[in-house]
Amino acid sequence: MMKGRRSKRRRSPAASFTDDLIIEILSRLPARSVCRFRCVSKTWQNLISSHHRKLHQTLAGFFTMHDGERGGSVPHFTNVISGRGCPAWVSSSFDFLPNRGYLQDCCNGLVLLCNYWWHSENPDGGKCRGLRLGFDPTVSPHFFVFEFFKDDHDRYGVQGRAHRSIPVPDNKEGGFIQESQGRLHYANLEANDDDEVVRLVVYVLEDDDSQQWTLKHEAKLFLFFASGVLTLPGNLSGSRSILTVT
Amino acid sequence: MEVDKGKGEAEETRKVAEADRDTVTLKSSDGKLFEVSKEAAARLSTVLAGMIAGGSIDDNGTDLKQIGSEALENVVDYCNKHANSIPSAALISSSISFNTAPFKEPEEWERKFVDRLSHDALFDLVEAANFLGMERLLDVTCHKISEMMKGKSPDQIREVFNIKNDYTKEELEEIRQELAWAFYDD
Repeated sequence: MMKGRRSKRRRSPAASFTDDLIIEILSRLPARSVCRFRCVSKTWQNLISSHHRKLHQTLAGFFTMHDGERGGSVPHFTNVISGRGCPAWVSSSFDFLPNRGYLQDCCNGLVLLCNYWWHSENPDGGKCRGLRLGFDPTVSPHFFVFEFFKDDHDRYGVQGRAHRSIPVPDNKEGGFIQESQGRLHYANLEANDDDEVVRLVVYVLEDDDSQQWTLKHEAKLFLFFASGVLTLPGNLSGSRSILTVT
Repeated sequence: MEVDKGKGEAEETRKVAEADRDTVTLKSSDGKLFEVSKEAAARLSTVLAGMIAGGSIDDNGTDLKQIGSEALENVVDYCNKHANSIPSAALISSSISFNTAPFKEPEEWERKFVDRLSHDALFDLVEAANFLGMERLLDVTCHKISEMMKGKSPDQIREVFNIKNDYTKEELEEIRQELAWAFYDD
């Protein structure tokens, strides 16, 4: 009896660990280790997926754009989670990256940076664009990058093999499209008859099939004091909708 | 009536005697008895603090059926070493609160305390700490285990934790490709 129990204990001393205890241990590991251990077993994979918020280096919040010291705008990250699972954000201006470019977009744990450079090997010279995608590995390694374009008929679509064109609600220039809370949002500034910009409007595409935009918010522009470049910050947790004007 | 009264008095006397003692006796799953300072036990373990306050401590050895003698010996050893050390928040918090307080690095003696343990002993101790609601010991043991896991491959982790690989070869290949970046050094 005793012998049997000892050998059983020896076979799996960690087998009786509760899920909370495994997470408690994993929460002390760097993100890279935690991700690698998704390969340990399906149980660990499910555990890590379902507790990713408790694990190390998980952030949730949003970016706002601020004037940089050397001109241009610099992103600033506002963290909405506090506690041990969330260490101080290293540098939200991404200055630890060489040729970091500027923050193009972010949503659902993805951060897209973009920079331009002149292609020296091309005899004619030519502007090239580079994109860097950062992702929260504790959420998902699956992602798809696309870019909205505007066609000759003032309609926005998505470049790629499968796409649809949906007319924007006001058929005007300079609008801004972003996904928030799982819905496509469109924001733009409206002018009065004297061509003065007076209002900010935000539409939401409630139903993808109907292609009907619904007016979700509108605000008189004097509430905002900025130049009128709109950013709808995607947010890392994907659960809130915050609009900023920078 | 007389007998019942006598019994009640005896019970009362026993309770008073118990309250006066400054140690508590703990009994491991394999029946071994360990004495530990009541003050340290109450300060370091939310579960023992609750049992002491609730009067459910048995003078002849409080049964801790989930904890083997080796782990319980380490728990008691830790409590005794800790007895005159820093005050703990164990008495303040009523239950283990995960991920709320910032982790304080293990002290030198705590590091030495867990460094000498085998993997199996460490795993038994972390479970005991978890079961007894010993926040600090849980911190220290989890920290040690995570240090030991850093830089290890999934194969090595399976071996250490005795985990069965339930992926098919194809599934594992697929997930490895997705997480290729995670296989560089930590």
